[in-house]
Amino acid sequence: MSLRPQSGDTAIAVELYTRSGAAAYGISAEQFASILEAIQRKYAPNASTDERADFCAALRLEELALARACAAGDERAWEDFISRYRQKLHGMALHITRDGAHAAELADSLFADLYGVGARNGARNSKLVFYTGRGSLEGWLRTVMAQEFVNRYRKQKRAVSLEEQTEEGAQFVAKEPEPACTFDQRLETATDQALAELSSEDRYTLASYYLDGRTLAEIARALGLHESSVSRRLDRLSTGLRKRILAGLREQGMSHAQATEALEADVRDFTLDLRSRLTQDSGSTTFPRRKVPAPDGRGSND
Amino acid sequence: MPDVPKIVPHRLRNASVQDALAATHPEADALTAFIEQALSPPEREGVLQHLALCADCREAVVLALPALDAAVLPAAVSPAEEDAEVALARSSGAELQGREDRKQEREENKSRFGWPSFAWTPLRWATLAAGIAVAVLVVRPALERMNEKPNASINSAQNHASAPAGPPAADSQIASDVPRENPVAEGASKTLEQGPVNGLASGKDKATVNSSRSLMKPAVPPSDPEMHLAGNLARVLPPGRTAKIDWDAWERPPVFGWLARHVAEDELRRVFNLGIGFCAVVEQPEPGETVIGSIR
Repeated sequence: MSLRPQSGDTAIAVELYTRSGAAAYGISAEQFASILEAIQRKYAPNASTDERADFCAALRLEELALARACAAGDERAWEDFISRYRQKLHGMALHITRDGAHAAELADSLFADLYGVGARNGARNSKLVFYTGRGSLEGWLRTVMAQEFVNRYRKQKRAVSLEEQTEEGAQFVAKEPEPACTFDQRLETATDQALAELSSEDRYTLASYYLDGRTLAEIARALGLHESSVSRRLDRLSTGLRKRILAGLREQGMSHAQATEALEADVRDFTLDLRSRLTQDSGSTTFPRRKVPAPDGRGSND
Repeated sequence: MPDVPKIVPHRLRNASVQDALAATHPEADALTAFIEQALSPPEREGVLQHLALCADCREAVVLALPALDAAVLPAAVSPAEEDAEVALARSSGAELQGREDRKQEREENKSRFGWPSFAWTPLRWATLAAGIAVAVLVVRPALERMNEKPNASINSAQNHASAPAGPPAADSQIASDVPRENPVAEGASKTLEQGPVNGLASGKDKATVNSSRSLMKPAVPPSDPEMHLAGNLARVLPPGRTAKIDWDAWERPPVFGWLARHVAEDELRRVFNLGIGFCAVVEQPEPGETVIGSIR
């Protein structure tokens, strides 16, 4: 099935177009069908006709139409967008940054990106063209803002300025020498095997809790679970990992006592690989700025 | 929270370093759909694989969560929704496993707040067993003692209907085994509390007050704060009779040695009963029981 009215099931295409309210923003049925087709090709390339119809019906059509109309520069769409999201953008920024000055800067910066101030060949270069309607527009804006924050502010925080160091009286403190890494290879192997056997969701839970220090509530909300479920999962993972690692160590020839001793050894007793700790996060820009494709008519496609 | 072996966070971090740098970060579109639970199972799995390795994306996800007041916490899933969910998951074995795992977790959530499934931890079972053991060890002997002494004040609750009314004898005694500190079931306390009334009303010549393993809460505050223990006893005594407590008749629990340095003696007696849990008015104290006073 194609959603182009002239080439397929026009009834569905018309229904989707009507639901989207795209006509109010000057997007034609043909342009809207092109947008939907592009999204389909990207996320459901091998779907059957019915599945594609369901996929399109599940999209946030009204918000998709608004975003694409804004990207295309429709004034009425922008008025709607500003009335709906301008204030929310500042609230989101404050929620993310916890700092008024940074929040204003982040929100204004994102708003500029959304508006597409960096015009190219006379056309706007709006980030909204990347919104595909699979989640809410508000959620998408929040995610884009969070990525921008991670790119800009968190990395700036890590780089402590000389001024700040001077204020703390630490400018002349020599760095601690970076020790070499001397872990028991068998323990590493057993641990890696045990971790590899876990599901992605379990590894995500472990990393969020033990590496990032996230709360149970945060992890639960990210996974759509109840907080108590995450707590029980961590209990289960802790017990299971310990058993699995012990078994792995014994498979490598350790006695039970040796395996237990190796497992209980504090990693602080080993010399830490600080290099890997420092480089755990991505390089200069985690979420690289994407080039906005040249608009093709009013409805830009992905 | 449980502690994982310390090597685990280290290896998790190491895996992040090795793999995340080369991986392509999910687009904002995918992360949004992930947060809003709008991804298909295969896509969700892909995003989770990346998130497990990428600290930056994990941070972006947490930052992108809606503010708590606006967030909709996962609600209880109706049976119809669960059926639909399972039906969808049949399309793939891996998907089915994931769905079933989540279903199991929801069942665990139910059991946390109700009784449908006994997914209790061993610690909870141990607590329950300890509770039963305390009930058996403490309540049962008290009830047996009541049954074995037909002329005792406690037992008289069973035959009060035929017992003639009358005041207790002047030489009734208040006895105690040992000063106790542990509470006992409220029901047992009430039974023992009612016993002396009936027993005394039966016209027995002697009554003894035995302490048992209880810190009985008085249903009515004693009118005389100086004599809390006696005040409680006064509630079960008929007019004209009083309980005389010998405050030195039992060995005080060691904690009162410390407490006495901070709390006045009358306060110790009024508030803490000097360690006496509850007492029973009995005709004759049994060997080994401590008599802590008498009825006059």
